[in-house]
Amino acid sequence: MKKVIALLITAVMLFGAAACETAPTREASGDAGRALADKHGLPYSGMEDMDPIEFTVWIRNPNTPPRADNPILDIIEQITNVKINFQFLVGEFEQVTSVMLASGDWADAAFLGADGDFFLTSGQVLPLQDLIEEHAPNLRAHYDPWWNLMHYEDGNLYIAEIYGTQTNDWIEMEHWQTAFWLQKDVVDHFGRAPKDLDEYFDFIREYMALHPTIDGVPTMGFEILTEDWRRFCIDNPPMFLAGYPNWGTALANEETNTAYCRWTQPWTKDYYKKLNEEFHNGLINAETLTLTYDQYIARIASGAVLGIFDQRWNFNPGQLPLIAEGRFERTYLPFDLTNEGVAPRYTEGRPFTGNNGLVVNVTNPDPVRFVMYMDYIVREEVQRFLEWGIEGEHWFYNENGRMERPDEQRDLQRDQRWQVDNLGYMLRQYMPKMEGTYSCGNSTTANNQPEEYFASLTGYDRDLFERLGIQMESGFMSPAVPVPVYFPFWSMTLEDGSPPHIVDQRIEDVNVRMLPRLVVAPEGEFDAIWDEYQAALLALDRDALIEEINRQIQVRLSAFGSN
Amino acid sequence: MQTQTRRKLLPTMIRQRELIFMSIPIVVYVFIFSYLPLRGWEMAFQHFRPGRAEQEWVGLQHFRFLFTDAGFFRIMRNTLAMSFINLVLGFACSIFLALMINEIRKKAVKRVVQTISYLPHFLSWVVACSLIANFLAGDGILNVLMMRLGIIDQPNIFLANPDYFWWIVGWSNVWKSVGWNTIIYLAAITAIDPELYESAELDGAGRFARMWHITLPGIKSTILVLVIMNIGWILNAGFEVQWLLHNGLTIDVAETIDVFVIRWGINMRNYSLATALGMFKTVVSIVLIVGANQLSKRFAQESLV
Repeated sequence: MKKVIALLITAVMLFGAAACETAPTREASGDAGRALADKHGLPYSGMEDMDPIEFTVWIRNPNTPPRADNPILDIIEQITNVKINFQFLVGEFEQVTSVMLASGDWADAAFLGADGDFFLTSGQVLPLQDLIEEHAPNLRAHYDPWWNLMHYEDGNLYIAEIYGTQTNDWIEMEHWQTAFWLQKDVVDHFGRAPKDLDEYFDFIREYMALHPTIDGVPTMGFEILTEDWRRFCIDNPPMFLAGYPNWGTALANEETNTAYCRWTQPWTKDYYKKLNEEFHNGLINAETLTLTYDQYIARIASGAVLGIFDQRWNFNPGQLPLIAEGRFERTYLPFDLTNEGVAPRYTEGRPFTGNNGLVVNVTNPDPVRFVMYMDYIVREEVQRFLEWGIEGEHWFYNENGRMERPDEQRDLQRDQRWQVDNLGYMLRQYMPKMEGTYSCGNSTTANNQPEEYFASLTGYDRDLFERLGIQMESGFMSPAVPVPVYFPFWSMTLEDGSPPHIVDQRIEDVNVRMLPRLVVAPEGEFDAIWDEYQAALLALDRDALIEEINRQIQVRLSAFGSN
Repeated sequence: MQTQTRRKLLPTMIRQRELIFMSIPIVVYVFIFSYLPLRGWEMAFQHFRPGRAEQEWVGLQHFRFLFTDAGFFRIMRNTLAMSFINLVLGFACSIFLALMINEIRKKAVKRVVQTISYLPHFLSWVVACSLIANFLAGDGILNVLMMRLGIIDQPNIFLANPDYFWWIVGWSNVWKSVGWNTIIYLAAITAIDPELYESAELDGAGRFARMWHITLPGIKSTILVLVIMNIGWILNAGFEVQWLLHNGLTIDVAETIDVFVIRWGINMRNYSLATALGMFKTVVSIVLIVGANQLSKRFAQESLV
């Protein structure tokens, strides 16, 4: 018996030792790396002769990493000798990040987004300004217009912004932000855009009367998602209807550069009153207020939801199955509805928020190398390589010097998963990037290259757009209106546990419980519930929050002014 | 009396050395996971920030925030109400089920019933709650059934109605744990001397009389011990069910102490507040356990310690 156990133990130990030894050790790519760079028209990284290194980067969203044999990422890895391992969010953001911070044990770098500012004061985030100035000339040039704005109040630059750094012109063929969305078949039925909110619901009502079921599923008029942080679907419509961009819990008076609370405005009441009416008309079912995100997406994917207020990136997963099934008439068109006499500001261009980027952990084994890597990634040739792929294989220059994809690539790339697996999308998405157009005028995202967009339109869309008299999906949306430098308030940092932070959370608490109640208020009780809601808001020290926002407005104004 | 006990302690320990040896891992476990973390209670009196060597002391600030919060009364009410429903429903149903299973004569049937009834115990609440949400949905099986039977003519959106929420939580808990909880009663029942049943039968006692006069008294001590232990948990009305099934319309009745801790403590990174609440819960639990134990000692001559 003892012998057997001894044997077993030996076997286990041997196995363990073998497992340790098989860790792959790669050599610096050297000349092979430089040859690859030459072959693909990429610049040298200056890291060809350095030892290979791996960095883990934690990402604030759930996602799936690209296939391990992704050819584009492999080439970049060989040129830089840097391998990036993405770790994606599993579970709930606040809880996971709180545990990360409490333990101090997290990845080499992380994309925390605007909700992750509490990391900055923890001492666990590495200041980057000197590293970037010294080792990353391209990144420094890339950030130049916003350089002062990127510094935190303590004078350090912690966040390597990955969004909102607009390069040259911004072209957008698809609208990915906020809108009132209406199923294409509904728009097609009436042949025009609804002119205001009343007509929007009229369209839905009439269409619903004609089509009580869609492909066997009972038609759902207007769906409202209220789960957790995705509650903007119920919170934000009044603000947009009143002609404001997506500010957040407070709105800005852009003439005086001051903030004020939006929940007590008369037009806020008007919107929820309208929802309440449509609830009694049967266009809105109370069940929509109980849905989780997954259930909501499943409803969109059923093709039976006629209208939603949402941001495209939020509900888009529900559209993908519809596209895959060829049910294009069940996908959506965006509309920027406003109250009478108000100009819409649904599109913001690429506002720079200053806290949507990567932070580097103080435990990062080689921060210089990491900054050098970001510096390489942000170079125009590399950006184009990641997004568009290999010249001659994934794309080519046409006779006008415009970048185009061959037809078979267009077919392949309709599948977003294929793009992630075969192109450098993941690296482009989660690293500092160019957004807008390259120096040659081609678009930095293939989907926003007008030629590509029109060429990849389905026959259904082409015909529909012609009937409606629009060029593209965002044809009914007004062009972007520039926003002030202190836009938006939702990305501002409020110190943990400070009075403004607590008031902000309390306002949210009140909204969580009161807004759904307004929607389903029994007939004749709406005004009473509205008064209860207002009383709950007035009981809070909202001035504490407004004052803090006003203070930060001034901080940003002076930072930008000194740029 | 006392000297006698003390003199006997050492020989008793030596005599029971195997038992003591076996309990060592448990003692170590409890020490590491239940006593060592108590040091962290100091966080309740600080403005705790992770990753800092020196913390700022703020005295009772967090307790004051807690007890003066307008929502605190509501949260306590929800917690106690759901706990009470869980406790009563849980005990009544599992004792009832245990008695019923015990009466089944066919072994195969017994096994099947037992297995089916305790299967949900192994589901995680995330899965269980999505099943429950589907079950209760507007086009869910419960609505379809009730409409087909003509009980209602419009689907009832159960999860949107605050009146139902506590009962949904209560019955969800029953569904998930009733089978599992019967195991301990069934074990206690097997310890009852079969001769009692035989003689009762001879005396003309029917099935219900035997259940009432033999089985129930036979497991009375087990029931009491479990009740006392569970009373200590009364401030833990559960977290997952409420968290996963709540929405804006029901949050007024759904928010329990644990949900409050997540929202105001963990999510806002106010770990000190979360600790203060944890302390509060522990103190209340100890008071309740000791109280219940005393009561039980006085009225039923049963006690934990």
